Amino acid sequence: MRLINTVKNEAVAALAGGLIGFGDPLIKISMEAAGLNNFLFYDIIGWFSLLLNWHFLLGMSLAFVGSIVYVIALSKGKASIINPLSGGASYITIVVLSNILLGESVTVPKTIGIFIIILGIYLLSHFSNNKQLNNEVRGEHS
Amino acid sequence: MFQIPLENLLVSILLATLASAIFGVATLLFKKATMPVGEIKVQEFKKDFKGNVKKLLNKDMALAIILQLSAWLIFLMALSRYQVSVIVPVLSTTYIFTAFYCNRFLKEKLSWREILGILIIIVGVIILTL
Repeated sequence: MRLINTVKNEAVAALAGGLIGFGDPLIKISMEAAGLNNFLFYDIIGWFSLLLNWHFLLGMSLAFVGSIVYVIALSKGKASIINPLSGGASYITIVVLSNILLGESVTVPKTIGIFIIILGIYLLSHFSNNKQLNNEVRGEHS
Repeated sequence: MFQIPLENLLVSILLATLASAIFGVATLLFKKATMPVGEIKVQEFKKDFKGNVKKLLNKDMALAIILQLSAWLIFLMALSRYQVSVIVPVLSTTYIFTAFYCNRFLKEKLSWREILGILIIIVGVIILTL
């Protein structure tokens, strides 16, 4: 946890998004395991079968930890930058994890899209005018 | 392949836009909720952990969580009506809504480079779902 204070805030936001992205593929696995093809949110028996599945619990708890890290990042930076940063980073985890766990193929558009998102995250964290912790290091540019 | 009626497209795009507008409000409120604590630094936050958590869990935070969950449900309703590859790019308008609200209500100013970065991420999300 001490690491969070030393790393740049945009990296914390990207980490938060990455953790939140663990939620969707793991929840998808748990839904397939519970045999829920057409899940409705008022389906109480469906919710119980999900709550007994460790994939679902792991996904939800990782997303919860991610949300806490997201709030930490949000308290330090502009909301209009932190939101796209963590949102974009979550797609990277979703694509990689759904390839590993669910066997969804990584197509060419997905690869290009991920590279463009990484470029966007880099540009945002490089150009944002947020106060930095190590002022002497980053005093030259911006 | 099964045919999806065209009005489902319109309804689901409307629902997804509504969801992203609400997601934007939720982000604004999350940011507002963290303001009483200021910049969270883990070491300083630990010193008065209970007091700081009480400061964080204020009305704005409660409203933000409720809005986030309701927007998520609206998004799921949109998702159940049409294909993911159409709905997820529509959801990425959240970033535009967030920038608009934060500029309006929190006086956050964005440089053109930051706007460019946000637009590049949106383009990446659109290409990802092609």
